Amino acid sequence: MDLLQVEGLTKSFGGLTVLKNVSFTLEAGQKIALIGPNGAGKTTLLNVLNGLQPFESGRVFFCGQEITHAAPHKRVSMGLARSFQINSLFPNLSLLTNVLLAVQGTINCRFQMFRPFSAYTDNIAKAKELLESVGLWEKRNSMVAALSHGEQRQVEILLALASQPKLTMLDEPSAGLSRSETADFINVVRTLMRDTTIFFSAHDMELLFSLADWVLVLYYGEIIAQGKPEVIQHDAKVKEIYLGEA
Amino acid sequence: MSNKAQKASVVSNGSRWIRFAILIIIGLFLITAPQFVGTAFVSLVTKFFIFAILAMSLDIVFGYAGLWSFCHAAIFGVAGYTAGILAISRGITSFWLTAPAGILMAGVTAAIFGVIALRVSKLYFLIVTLALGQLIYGIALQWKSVTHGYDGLWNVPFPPDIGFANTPVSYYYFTLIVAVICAVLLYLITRSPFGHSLEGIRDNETRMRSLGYNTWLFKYIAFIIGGLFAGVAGIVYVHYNSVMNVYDVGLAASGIIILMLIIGGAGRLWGAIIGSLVFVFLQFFVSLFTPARWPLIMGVVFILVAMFLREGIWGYLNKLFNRVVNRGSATS
Repeated sequence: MDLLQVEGLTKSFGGLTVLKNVSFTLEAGQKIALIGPNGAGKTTLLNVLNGLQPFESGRVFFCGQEITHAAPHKRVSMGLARSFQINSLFPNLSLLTNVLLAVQGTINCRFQMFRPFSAYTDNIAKAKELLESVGLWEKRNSMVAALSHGEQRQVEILLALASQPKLTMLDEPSAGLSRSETADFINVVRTLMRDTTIFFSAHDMELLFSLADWVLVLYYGEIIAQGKPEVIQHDAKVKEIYLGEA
Repeated sequence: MSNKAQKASVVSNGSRWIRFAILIIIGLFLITAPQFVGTAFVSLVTKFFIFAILAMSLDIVFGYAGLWSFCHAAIFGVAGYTAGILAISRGITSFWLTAPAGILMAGVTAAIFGVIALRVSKLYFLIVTLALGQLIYGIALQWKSVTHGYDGLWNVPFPPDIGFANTPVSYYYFTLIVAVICAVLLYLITRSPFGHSLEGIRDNETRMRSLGYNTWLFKYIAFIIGGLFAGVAGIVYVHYNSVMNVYDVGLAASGIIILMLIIGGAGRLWGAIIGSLVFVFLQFFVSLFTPARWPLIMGVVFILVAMFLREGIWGYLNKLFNRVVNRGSATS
């Protein structure tokens, strides 16, 4: 079944068209990578799919329902979550609070006013499970600002996963990590992402080839190729514009 | 690592008892104070209670939800004027009618202002709320047949049908009870999932939207809650002061509540309480010696806090307290 269906998406900033008539579908259960050089429109595409940025034309369907004009929070409650390229956390709140905010994001208890945050043991159990999966439970009382960049990248992904989405969009999950950190990070992502469909933008070839089973190539706002990683790797056009001339 | 963490939790448990003890002492002092202090002091502390309610109500909006509202005194004033006008001009003597009417009007005002102001954020929100606040000021000034313009309302009596609240001392206790109820309710809100969501929205609204929160609705509810509690403060104020005039609802009045929050420490209810305490007492004692220079002194205090106590007086006291308690337990 098609999980996400995008038809003729066009988006411009002033006179600059960053997405030109982009159409594609994502199948459930896959790990799909979105690649392209800087300025290709990867982050813009994710922002548009997330509902954070308006666009001129095109339609978006998620699980068969049209979400073209749905607000971001509606999309999340339908199961479409995302992480950010530049850490977008709550640096002055504790790590546990960060994760709890993410866990309760799609649960009605978020409107509850007279019962303490800490009384929701189900949420805390869920947060514990998530934090333990990346080995950060011990640091739950630290302010997020005090964590290392690598740890913050992991939290970034945890927040996206906390609502148990059907489709998780990750924007450059390994951004800012060193080569050795990336290797560990890939393992973390792989275990976390076992059962969800992910759509991630990537710069890092290691991340791309070790995770993805389908690749979309975005070049100046247009999808110019898609296919299995091995195929894309040898695609002449992609080689020329993205991997550099061979 | 875990040993240290364990020790830290023991310390914080100990400090929790010390905090509780301090709270009890303050409580006992406030309950017994009218027995051994003069009327002027009773009146002054009553004023502090009222401004504490008002500052705490703004803290939900300003400190927790991160909305720079500049019309809080106007919403406070709507409640005060409503109750005052009903009591004096319309001859409705029942406090149980005038008080809910005033609070309801404050809530409705906040609900209307919220719809308009929450279309924008940050500085623009500040400007729009400032303009909306001045609208109330304008109405209070111009609608002379009802509000009496510059003269304002006079001789608003103590609530006649609350038997125990018709002298300055009994009204002190009445205000204390109202303030404690408000503080407890607001405290519960700040501890709840809703309260934490507000902090999340204040710190990173985009992320909160991407986590499934309808952030507009959260901010709107917070703004109305702030308005309702400001309404409670307005009601208690008009009966305390017996006078309500345009200065109570103007720009300067809204600014003063924000100053209280910044001096005490926004984003913590204790900050709001301490900010209003410092403001009310400083104003009283400075005005005794040099009434004309009160704004000057206030300005200096504000600059000092802004320069040296970024988290407000409460933030500083809290750090100091933790340092003293930790040192005490480290040596023992």
